[in-house]
Amino acid sequence: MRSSTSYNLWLIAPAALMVGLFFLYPLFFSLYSAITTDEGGLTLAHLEKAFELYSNDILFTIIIVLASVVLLAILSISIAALITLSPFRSIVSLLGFIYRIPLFIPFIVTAQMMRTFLAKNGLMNNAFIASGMLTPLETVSFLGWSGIIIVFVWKQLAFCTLLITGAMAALDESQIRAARNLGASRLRILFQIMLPQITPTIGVAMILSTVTIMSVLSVPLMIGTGTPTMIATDMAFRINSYGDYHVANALGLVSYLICAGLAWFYLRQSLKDKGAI
Amino acid sequence: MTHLLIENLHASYGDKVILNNINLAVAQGEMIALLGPSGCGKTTLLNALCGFMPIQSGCISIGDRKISTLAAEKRNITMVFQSYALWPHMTVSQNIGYGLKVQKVERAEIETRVNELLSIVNLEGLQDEKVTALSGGQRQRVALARALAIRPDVLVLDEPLSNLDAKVRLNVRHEIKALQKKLGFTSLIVTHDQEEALVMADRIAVLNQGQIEQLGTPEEIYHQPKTAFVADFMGANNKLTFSSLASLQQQISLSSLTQSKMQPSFSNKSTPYQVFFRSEDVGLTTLSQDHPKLHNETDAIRILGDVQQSAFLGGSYQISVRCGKHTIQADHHENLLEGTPVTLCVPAGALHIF
Amino acid sequence: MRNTMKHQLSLLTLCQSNKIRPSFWIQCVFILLFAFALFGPITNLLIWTVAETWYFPHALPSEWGLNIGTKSLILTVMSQAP
Ligand SMILES: Nc1ncnc2c1ncn2[C@@H]1O[C@H](COP(=O)(O)OP(=O)(O)OP(=O)(O)O)[C@@H](O)[C@H]1O
Ligand SMILES: [Mg+2]
Repeated sequence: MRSSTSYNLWLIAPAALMVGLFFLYPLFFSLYSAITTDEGGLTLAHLEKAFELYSNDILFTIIIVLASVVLLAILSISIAALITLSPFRSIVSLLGFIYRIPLFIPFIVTAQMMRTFLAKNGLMNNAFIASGMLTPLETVSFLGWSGIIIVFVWKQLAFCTLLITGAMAALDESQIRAARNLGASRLRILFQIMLPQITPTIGVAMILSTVTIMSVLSVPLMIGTGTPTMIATDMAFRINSYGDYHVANALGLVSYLICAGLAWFYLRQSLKDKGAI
Repeated sequence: MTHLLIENLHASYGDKVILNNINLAVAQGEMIALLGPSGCGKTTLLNALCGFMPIQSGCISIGDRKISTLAAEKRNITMVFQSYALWPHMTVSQNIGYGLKVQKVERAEIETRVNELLSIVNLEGLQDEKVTALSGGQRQRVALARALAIRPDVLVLDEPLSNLDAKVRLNVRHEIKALQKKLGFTSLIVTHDQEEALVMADRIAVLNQGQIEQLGTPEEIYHQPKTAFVADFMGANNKLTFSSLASLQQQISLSSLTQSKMQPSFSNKSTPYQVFFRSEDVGLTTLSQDHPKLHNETDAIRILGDVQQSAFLGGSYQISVRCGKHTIQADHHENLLEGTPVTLCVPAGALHIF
Repeated sequence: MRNTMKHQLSLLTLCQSNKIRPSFWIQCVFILLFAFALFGPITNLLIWTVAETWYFPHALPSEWGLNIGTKSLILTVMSQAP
């Protein structure tokens, strides 16, 4: 008995070591670095400085994240619902195939192509002009905050839809049939039968997307217009230009707190839903 | 009076034909059992009826309302599923009242209807319970109440009892039957348990490979099977095969083959002759064949054999008797040793010849 | 193959027989918009890889070719950006 326990310990030791060494240690080190001086004393100076210099960017990041997440939720739920509920199977099977394409395109490539697509003189405006819907003077550039949101939604939509479609498909088909023969329309089934049962998955998809959005550097750099920009850009800037790891880590702490805030909101919401029943 | 009418119904999955020319007329308040082996298309028939799958051709109507082109949500047919299909995020009363809520019935009225249904299915006091907290039998009763709440034109039940354990199944079986008598709803129930079909149904439709093999009252189906398949499926577990009429008559004296059993087509039949009978109809004695007592009964066949195996069934023993190349099962009140010579006696009325 | 044909046929008859079905057209429009948003940027990238010069406001490049490497592509793009 005892030998089997120690054997098991040896079995998980390499994995535990990996997690500790390459994940926990850097995480806690960066958090520690955000609130200590070089000499090792506790201080809030880095956080203060981060807020002083970058409070606009923090706000900007939060707005981008919230807007993207809301759009993502709306779009991915509609696509997933179409895929699972639409009576027009053949057009929908096409949709089920094409929506996954962005999964296989890296963020940097997405940013690159969106840059030439969304610009004032990009393909989108060119197409509108060629089709006579706009004149060259009426065109607007989507680069900037709206472009950033568009890129994030474009790229993350596939991932969220994949998760949500999976959750919808995992629901018992007969639950939906039972609602249908009681007279419920597809829209009603979506909102009253399916969504209440898959909120956990939607929450997970949105939180994972948030974490991705917070950590992508290429998109604000290539699509953004400079100021304000997102926290990730500021962190890179602090490190590359000043070698200032303390403020960079303080910004890291802030982005970590934003993610944690969203996660907390989600957990509280799901607990409340459970308690209400 | 015909309530539900299914005419020339064809349905298939891809190129695979599942339902092949189904015709069925169900009277108001009647309960029809669809009986058949696994994969014969029972569920498919219910799905076609409910509008969950497209049909190839044919017509389904309720009264004078043609429903085969309507969407599932407009047909007013509800289904009780084998897996209950309750919505786990709703309470018992929310589940039951959902159909009424969809129909925009007033809140107060929904509440009275739900309470009424709860008492009908013996679930009083459980209305605020989560459905996940209920037992299988209770869940199936909630599902039944939910399906009945909107007063459907037809109720269909797809193996509603097969997820329940034997004892609960007997209870719920009788409850459904009593409820059907009391409320008078028209229903179709799918089962592959022949006893369940016999007990519950007013008429039974035996399905085989997408076709109705025989439709009739439980007594007809049981005592006068029209085809070998029906006889076999309804528990005629003894089957003797004869290659020609001569070899058949050699075994079974002509007097036993009463006119009703001998169909005209029999004289020039190319397929082998099959004789079916139930083990419960076999009289078994250890007396020798020419014992005078055995000749009292004239219209019966007698077969000699010896005991091969004996199994205790609770009420009786099932004895396997080897008779030449055939093995015959017979019910007997006492255990017999292997090798005991016996005489089997089957009354002509119990024989089904095809 | 025959299956899909049959399926499409039944789809067609479905649309005709149930005269309603505005939802069918709404769904078609939604899917078209989605396809545009999805393939627009990808097409854009593909065109750029075979374009030499592409001035605003032409819908398509004025010169085609494969000479441009990734580096000059990025440079062109950068110089065009506002
Ligand atoms: N979704 C489907 N796609 C293709 N074939 C199917 C599908 N569902 C069922 N089938 C086929 O249709 C035939 C009939 O199936 P069905 O479910 O109606 O059988 P059943 O009589 O209900 O059997 P059981 O007693 O096992 O429930 C089967 O041969 C099955 O393989
Ligand atoms: Mg079935």
